[in-house]
Amino acid sequence: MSCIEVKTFATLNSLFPSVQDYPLQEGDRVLDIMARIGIPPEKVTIIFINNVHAEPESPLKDGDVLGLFPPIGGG
Amino acid sequence: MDKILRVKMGSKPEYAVEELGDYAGLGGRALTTKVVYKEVPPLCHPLGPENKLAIAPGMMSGSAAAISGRISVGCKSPLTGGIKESNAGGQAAQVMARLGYAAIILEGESPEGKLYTLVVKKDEISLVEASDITGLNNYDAVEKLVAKYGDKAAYMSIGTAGERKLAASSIACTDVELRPTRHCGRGGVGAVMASKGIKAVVLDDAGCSMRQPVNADAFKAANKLFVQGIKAHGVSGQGLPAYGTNVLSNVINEAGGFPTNNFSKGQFPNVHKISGETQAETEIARGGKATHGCHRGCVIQCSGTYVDKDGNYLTKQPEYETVWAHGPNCGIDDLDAIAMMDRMDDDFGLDTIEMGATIAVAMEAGLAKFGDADAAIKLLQEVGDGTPLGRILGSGAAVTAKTYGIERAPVVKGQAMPAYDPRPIQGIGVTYATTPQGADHTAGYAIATNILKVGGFVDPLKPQGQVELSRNLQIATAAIDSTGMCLFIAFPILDQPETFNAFVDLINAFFGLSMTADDVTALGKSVLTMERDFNKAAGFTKEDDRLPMYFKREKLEPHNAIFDVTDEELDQVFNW
Repeated sequence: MSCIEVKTFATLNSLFPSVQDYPLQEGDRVLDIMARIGIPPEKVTIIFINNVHAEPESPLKDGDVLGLFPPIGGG
Repeated sequence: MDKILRVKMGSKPEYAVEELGDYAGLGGRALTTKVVYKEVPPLCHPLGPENKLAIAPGMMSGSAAAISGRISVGCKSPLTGGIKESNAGGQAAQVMARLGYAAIILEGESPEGKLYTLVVKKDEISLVEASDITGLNNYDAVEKLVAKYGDKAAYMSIGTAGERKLAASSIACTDVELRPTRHCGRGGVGAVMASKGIKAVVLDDAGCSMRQPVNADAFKAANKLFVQGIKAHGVSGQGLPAYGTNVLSNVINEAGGFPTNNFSKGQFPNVHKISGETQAETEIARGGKATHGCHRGCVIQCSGTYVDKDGNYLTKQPEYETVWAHGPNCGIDDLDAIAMMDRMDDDFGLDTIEMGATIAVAMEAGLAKFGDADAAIKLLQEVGDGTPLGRILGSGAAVTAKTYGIERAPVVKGQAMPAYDPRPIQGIGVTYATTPQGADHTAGYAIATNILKVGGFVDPLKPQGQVELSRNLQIATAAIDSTGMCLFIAFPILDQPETFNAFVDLINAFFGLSMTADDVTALGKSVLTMERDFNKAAGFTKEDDRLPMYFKREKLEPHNAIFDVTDEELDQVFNW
């Protein structure tokens, strides 16, 4: 079965913990994964797939690492 | 703020209170930059009598305007050899502004190497020999000053690093708890204060009142909208108060731009051990605080209190830059060790970014192993002890690299890069290369748009669009740094037009002006132009607006990125 790793951070992580092996279905995009986990789209502003910025519509493939962040900043 | 206090040090220290003259209407960075531009010979030695140290609260400091407590310090920098503006939070800006001083300008040089305490009260100014605190570090010095001058004053001081005139030395400002934790850190400003013979500045505003706006109703209304906008934005309203600035560790690591082991890798495997999430959890579990303001009137509260395993105060919540510098950049994953080094930097009076970058260079040179926290603490202690090695380290990353024959000194204009690798985050590389300040993330925080998707999105891995991004941010920052507002207002201002409008309305209502967004831009440009002109006259050329060449040669994992904004593009940053 195809899987991806889902990593959540900051306030997202306390509500939706990271998952090492999350099952991937044919044609899954980032927003499909978020919907299945139950993460409201408006809570996510920064998305990475394999350390590269991605969009909610970006497709996923087996072995991808998905990173999801709420609005954060500092400096 | 209708006067300037000019302190002339020499065989007979004296002072004068002057009218504002050409400096009327300015504050913060705009004021310190104009003083240095107009009054300091660009070719002077930074520690010589011709250099001056200008201290200025922001235009809005001392008023009821939210989050207006930043203080700027300006001079010719002993670290970069160019113009410097270094700003900090803490209580000093609000208190100095209520005392009515737009600036304190220190000039001349220390008489016979003696140090003095400058005491500024409502109707009394005095220069007191500082023999009681000379040789003390910041925590002990401030404790003695508080015992003498009371817990209502604000204090600015230098530690032994400043007294030794080290190029990485800072000026400490006390926080709400009267601890010397908020530093004008960058560029060696502590050494310049020492060269003027000033160990500490006591600011006591007893009998003074808050600065009042010209249009009270409009001011109140704008302030309300401004605060609402700050609280409504996810970054300033939620992320920063909950986790502090170190919330960035995970996202910069995820982006592959988290400099590890002296900028040799872009990711740190043990990031979870030092992240803002872990830091906040640790502070709360031990009885510290994860949410705390560095000055009264702050509505973001990005700071905190770090306590040791027994629950005793160790230091304020180390900032992201500090955690990175003393942590992953040195291969160190121990939050307690990082907090200890933050405490030591604050105490000795050192810039945490410069010191972390320097220790990493020392590790590359073989003075310690990457990841060895005890060895890093010992190296830092050498600086506090003033040993010959400590003096080399306290002179910064560039000097240390040169001393030990190391190419990889991550510096621009002699100043160490902060916590973002410019290869996979090219916008910040443009800022590092071109800002008149030397490598400085705050000068044009491209991370916002390259990584955090604030103010839009410009792909960090490509050179396209980075020059324009950095230019616009450098202009906006120069203006914000002049207002006394914390730079973190940029997050809501960049995303929410109504908050930007409230910000402009707030300034207009306070001064009775009718500035537009274009006027704010013009202010930022004028500051940058003066800074560039000063540097040019000090000997800087466009060839100084470059990253070290290894950033164009050595690929950084995981993106195998190099910095590929061309020199010709870099030369267009200030082309307005």
